[in-house]
Amino acid sequence: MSGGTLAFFILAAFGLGGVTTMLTARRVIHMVLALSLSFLAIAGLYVLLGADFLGVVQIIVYTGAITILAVFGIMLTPHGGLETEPKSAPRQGRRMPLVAFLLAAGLFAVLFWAVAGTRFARSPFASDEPVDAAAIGGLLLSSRYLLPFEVISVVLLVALIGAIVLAKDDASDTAGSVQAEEHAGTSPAEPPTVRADNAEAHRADRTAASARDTGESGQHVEKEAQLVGAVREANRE
Amino acid sequence: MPSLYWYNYLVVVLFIALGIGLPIVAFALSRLLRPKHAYAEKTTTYESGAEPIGTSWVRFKVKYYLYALLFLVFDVETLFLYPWAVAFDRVGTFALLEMVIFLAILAFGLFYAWRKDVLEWK
Amino acid sequence: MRDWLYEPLSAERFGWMVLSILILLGVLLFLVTYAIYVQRKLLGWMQSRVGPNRVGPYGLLQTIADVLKLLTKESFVPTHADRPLYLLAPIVAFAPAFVVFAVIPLTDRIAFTDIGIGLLFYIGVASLSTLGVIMGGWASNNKWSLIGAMRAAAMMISYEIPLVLAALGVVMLAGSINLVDIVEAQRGVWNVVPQFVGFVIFLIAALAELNRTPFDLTEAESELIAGYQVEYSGFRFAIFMLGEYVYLFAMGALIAILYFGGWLPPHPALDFIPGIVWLVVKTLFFAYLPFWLQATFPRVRIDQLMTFSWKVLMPLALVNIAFTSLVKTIAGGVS
Repeated sequence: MSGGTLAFFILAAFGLGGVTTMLTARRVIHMVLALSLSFLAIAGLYVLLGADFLGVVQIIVYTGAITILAVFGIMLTPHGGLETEPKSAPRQGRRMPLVAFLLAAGLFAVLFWAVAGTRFARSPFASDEPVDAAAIGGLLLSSRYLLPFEVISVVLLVALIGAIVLAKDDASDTAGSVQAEEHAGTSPAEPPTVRADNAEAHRADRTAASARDTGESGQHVEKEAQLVGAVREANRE
Repeated sequence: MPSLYWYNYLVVVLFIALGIGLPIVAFALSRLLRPKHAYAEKTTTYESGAEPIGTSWVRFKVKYYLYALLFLVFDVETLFLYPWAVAFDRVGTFALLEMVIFLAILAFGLFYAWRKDVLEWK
Repeated sequence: MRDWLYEPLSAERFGWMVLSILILLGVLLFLVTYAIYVQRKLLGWMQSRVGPNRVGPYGLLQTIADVLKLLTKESFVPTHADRPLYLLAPIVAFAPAFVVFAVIPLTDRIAFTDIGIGLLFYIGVASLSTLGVIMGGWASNNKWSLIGAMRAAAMMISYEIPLVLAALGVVMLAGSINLVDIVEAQRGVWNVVPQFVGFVIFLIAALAELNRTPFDLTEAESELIAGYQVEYSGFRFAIFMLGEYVYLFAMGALIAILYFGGWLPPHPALDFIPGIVWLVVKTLFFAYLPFWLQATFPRVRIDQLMTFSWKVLMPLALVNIAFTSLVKTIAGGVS
């Protein structure tokens, strides 16, 4: 089917384009979004293979959840403007572009040869027809995949608990410091919703700017919050 | 009906093309019509009239990250439930039992997060 | 239209396909234009005001004038913005809201596609609009924008799980993820009756996904000015708004299909009215419902919002699924 081949190459181009953009991008957030483009392209490839359920799962889990997770992870770290590379390491790499190219090409050749030479055994469940979700469900719940299916839930539980244990200490630390700043920086008259913003903005400014700037910006935010409060009062009357 | 499957996704591709195309056409149209008099004061960051201080690309609290982690785990679990729900009629009581175990483990994770105060937004 | 899907593809048929999608797009643009008018009128009446009444008879041309105004408004890129992402964000926010219409069947005969996993396709594609919001908020390099975008993202992911879990109950009843099958399974009684808990969870989560009141704190104008849209002006802003309203109609249609029998009439005696009319009426009702809620509810606080999803909706949705499967097993065993 020539349409399928065409679609494959377009999707592959998007996937590779996304990954290349990710490698060359200077900002971390650009890298994440470029990666999400190649996730989308991979989802397209699954659909092309007749596994649209898997394709949609790829979109929901990777493009939706993993990308957001990565973005939140970036927001957690100081990520300001451009990522400045450490001066020494990349220069060593740039010295020998030809060697790097040859190595990469060699690796590609070996992999291509290995993949092209392999005879893939056909799974008894494989078919050329598109797979519907009911078939997947039936298979998943059959005695054959019973144990793996239940083990998955345990693996996910372990991942969840691990994530909580890892991030929990940080969370309580940060929460403490935010609260301290919140009390220091806000006047008691402000409505609670504004205070939440205020705390975030405060924290934002404090981490980003120098000590002097922070003091000023704190005042700005505070003034603004009071202004908002005043406007609300006026509206109420 | 393999051909139906392909036509379906061909239509989806058309939808995607139009969904991306409409904003582009609209931007092009408005580019023809709109004025262009940007100067430094106008293009500065709007923060309610106050001079913006520092970049706004700052650090956020770890809470967001934790929520995203929770979301990821529960998202994957939920997706496993969908094939089960579809195949429910075929597999019957055995599937119910199997899924009760799966759901119990999922609920335990939620319970654990609850007890550890991870669900609290503060 | 659904029959086309089974016939071989020709250039002519392809042209009709494109034309029908264009017509859908036009209808959506019309609906959105008047949804904004209806919103302003409804809010006006609910607050004892008149609402727009200057442009055209009864102010009917008000939104059209607004659109024309936005089209001719200057739209610059802020100096400190992240230019490529800033330009890309409105497109990423709008496209998914339109693409989800691909899987929404209008009647059992008229449908653009007939995808086996329609509901999951909708959920997956709709979740992409979160990326557009994050891109817009980050690229603006504005503190209001970024806070709004981060909140929007945190809220959308928190409420997506209850949404998906609530829809699972409907899938169990129908035994299919295909939206046409789901409607056909409601021939006897609409899903809202056996899945009432699921419907309530779904409605609340849908409001949060749409960023409507009482969950509109991502763009709370009195706190964050307009959240992630602060730095957007002219038609870029308009596309953000368009995406939001198109998504409103998509969600209205989905609620009508999942819980209110889609194109099925409330009573078989009313069968003489074409199915598409029923679907449109139901869709419009659920698309306009948020406007009513907007006039009724105050905005919730962010900590209340987040914990509500995880501590109330999630457990409720899980109980709903367990209950549904139990009832289904017992009923299946008896019959």
